[in-house]
Amino acid sequence: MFADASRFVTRHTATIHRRTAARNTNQSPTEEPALDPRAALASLNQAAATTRASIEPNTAVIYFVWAAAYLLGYGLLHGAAFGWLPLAYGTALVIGAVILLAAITYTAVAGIRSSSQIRGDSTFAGMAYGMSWMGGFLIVALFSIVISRLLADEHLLVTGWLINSVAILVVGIMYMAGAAIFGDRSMFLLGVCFTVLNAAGLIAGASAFISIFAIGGPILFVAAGITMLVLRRRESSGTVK
Amino acid sequence: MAELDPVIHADARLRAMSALNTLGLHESIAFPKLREILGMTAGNLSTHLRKLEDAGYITVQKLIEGRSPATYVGITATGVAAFEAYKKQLLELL
Repeated sequence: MFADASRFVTRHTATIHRRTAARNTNQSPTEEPALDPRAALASLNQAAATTRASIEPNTAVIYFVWAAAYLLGYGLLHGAAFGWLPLAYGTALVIGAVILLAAITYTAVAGIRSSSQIRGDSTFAGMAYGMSWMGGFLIVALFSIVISRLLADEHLLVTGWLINSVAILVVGIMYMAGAAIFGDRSMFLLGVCFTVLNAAGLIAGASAFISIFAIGGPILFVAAGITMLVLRRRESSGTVK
Repeated sequence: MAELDPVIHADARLRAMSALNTLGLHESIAFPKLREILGMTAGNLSTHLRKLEDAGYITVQKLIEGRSPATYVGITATGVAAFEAYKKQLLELL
């Protein structure tokens, strides 16, 4: 009985050694067993999905971060302007700017991290796109200063309304331009929606624009985030592009 | 029906081609990042990449980044065409 057990152990150990050796040498890729077409397709799709997840930032998370930023930022402004928060409008603006900077930083870091160790046309496109956002918002910041001086006697809501429309003009155009650069249809739709929201805010007037953006902005970003999650899941589970 | 391209039709090389095709033409990826994506050992990946490079499907470029040597891998136009043909054949088989 012990001899049988010993023989079994020896044979089993030898099998394990053979398997391990085969796994470790990896010398002859041509000798790999032929793949079943269905398994090949699954493997191909899985590799494509893993690659996409590794070289592209998680757009869904970025959109959710921006949804939270819009909700908090415009929510604070609304609370300060309409008195349901014990906060001066100027303080709400400063906190809103900090939230905006935090969201921008998160987006930039996610973009830079995903494009690391990649070379080629996309590197320049990503860099140029990022710089365009920065350029656009630099102009928005300068415009804010100029218009605040020009309309010093106006109510803060009026100045904020005008500054906001210019900022959202940049947002809408940048999303549409990004869609053209990266071939992303959902990004184009997001840009169109923000442009429509901007038109609604301008038409609604200085007293209503914050409500429109506090509600509309987060809804658009959450919808975009969910769309990206669905698209990513669909890509990883299946259809060959 | 023609036989599936034997250079691509092996799990490791198929996954490498799929990854590089997803990255796109005129793009290349650092060897360590590709290895991380594919979950392969350096030796194994090198062996398969050599096979793909010999077929003209990929390019392997060695360069200096800062002060350290780096290897970048990218798909060629021939590789994209071969991979598209392979996918088409594969779908026809299913």
